[in-house]
Amino acid sequence: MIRTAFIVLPLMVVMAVLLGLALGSAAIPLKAVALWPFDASDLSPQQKLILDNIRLPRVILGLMVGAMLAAAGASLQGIFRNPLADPGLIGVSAGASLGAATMIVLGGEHLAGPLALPLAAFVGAVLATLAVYGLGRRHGMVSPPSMLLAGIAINALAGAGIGLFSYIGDDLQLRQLTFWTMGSLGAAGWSTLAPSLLPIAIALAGLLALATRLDVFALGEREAFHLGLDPRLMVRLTIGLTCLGVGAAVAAAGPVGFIGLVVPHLVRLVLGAGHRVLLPASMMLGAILLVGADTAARLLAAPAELPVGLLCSLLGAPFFLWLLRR
Amino acid sequence: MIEAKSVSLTIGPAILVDRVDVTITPGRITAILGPNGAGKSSLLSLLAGERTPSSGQVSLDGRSMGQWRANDLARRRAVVPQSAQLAFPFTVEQVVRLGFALTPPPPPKRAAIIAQAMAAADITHLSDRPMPTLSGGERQRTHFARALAQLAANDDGKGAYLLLDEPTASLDPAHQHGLLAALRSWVRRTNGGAAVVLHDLALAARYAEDVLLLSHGTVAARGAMADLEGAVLERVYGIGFDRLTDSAGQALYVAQGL
Repeated sequence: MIRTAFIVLPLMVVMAVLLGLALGSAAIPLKAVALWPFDASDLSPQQKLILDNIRLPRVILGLMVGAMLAAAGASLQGIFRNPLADPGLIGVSAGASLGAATMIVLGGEHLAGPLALPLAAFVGAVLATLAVYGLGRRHGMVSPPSMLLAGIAINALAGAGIGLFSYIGDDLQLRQLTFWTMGSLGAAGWSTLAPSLLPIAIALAGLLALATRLDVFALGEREAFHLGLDPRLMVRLTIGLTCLGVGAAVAAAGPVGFIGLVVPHLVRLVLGAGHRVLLPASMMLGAILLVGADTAARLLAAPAELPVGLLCSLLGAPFFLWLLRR
Repeated sequence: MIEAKSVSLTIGPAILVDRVDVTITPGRITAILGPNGAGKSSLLSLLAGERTPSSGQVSLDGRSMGQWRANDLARRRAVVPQSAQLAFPFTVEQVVRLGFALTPPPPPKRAAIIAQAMAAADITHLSDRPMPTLSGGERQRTHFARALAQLAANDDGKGAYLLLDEPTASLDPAHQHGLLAALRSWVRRTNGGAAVVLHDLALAARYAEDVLLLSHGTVAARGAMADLEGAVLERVYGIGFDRLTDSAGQALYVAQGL
């Protein structure tokens, strides 16, 4: 089963990438896209331009964000020892949204460089996570249940902040803010993509390296210590890496729901609970789903496009309910 | 040798362990007895290096627990918890294998270590079952096997220590004796030391060389089970005991009805 999955999933990643490059308001023949790296003679200059400047960065961002959200979900579920944990719970998404809202409403024209918004979102994500982490400590020890509660409070606070900015913002700002919080890969271009790739890559590699320790942590904090793990360091590392990676992902794409929650669940159901399988398989499935959903979002309402975060929640929530009721 | 010298543990206003001296010696099993809330589990967590004593000192081979890295400690002592709640549906074999996940032995040795540990805990037939489908007793035996695998993976001849918190609580009589017999054979084979929290005085009499009787965090009595006085037991547990002799000629205490 596991061996089959590690053949099928990479093939599906390749398929998702090819479809994501080929499909859209201007369709490009799949064969020409597949041959593009070797021989671009079948493509018109306009098609090359679309692939090079629009679709390729968009698909790469989709891969990275999808993989990051799924890996973060799997790791946080491991640390909190709770299958319902999700990157949203440690305040990353809400903090990023508040950061973005602050920039959209208060930033004004002079701060509207292409990187100002993602940067504000990233700062918001880091600050919110630090707040959750700091408030979730008891007697100097990190306590996952307290962190979950602190996360709920910080989420509510950030939600109120976003509401406040929506209230004082003008119509244009409100529209921009609303669209941002729906999540989209539409803003992807090489210049916005580049800064988010490195933090996401570091976070993905770091979380993969923690896989065995996450297995041990699943036995419980005390048991993890008995087996030779420093549980405090482990919590810190995992939270730090997810904050870095998800912060960068949300900064580039806005909050995209349900991938972090549903993907690890699905993988665990089929491939078992071991994190050395769960993490890489979740990364691949998350990447497939986000790139696939983004392609669908472009096709369903062509020539306009649906926000991909909206589509993910729209499909993810019923699917999750079905999973729970099985 | 794990040695606790005048060790105390206070949390807020509660004194859980109060100036206890105890030594866990290679080749011997020490039973920790006492009524609910006497501080047995707290003492075990101090011996495991998991909690830092409020006063006094716990050391392994003369080196204070605080100076051991978690990973080095894991090569020398294992703990069988009272109840470990596994967050995800790992299989029995996966859990036993986790025993040495962070302190792995050379790959060719792994399969034999797992097989021996599972056989000693009588869970070989369960190896592919997901943990959530097991009974409480089967889970307890799985964690015992995990601890055995942990110590077998790093058997360097310096002697290891196994600390067990009510390992027989959910077991049927045959498996209670099976587990403690396996513990005794581990102690003899590896010259390891063991401390085991027990409620069953007959099991303590049968398997433990030394007994530590706790009451309100302090030591009420210590020594061999056969030397324990009925009056002390009665005072500590608040119930009378009959002293019987079993078919093997061993003295046993059995609680009288109320």
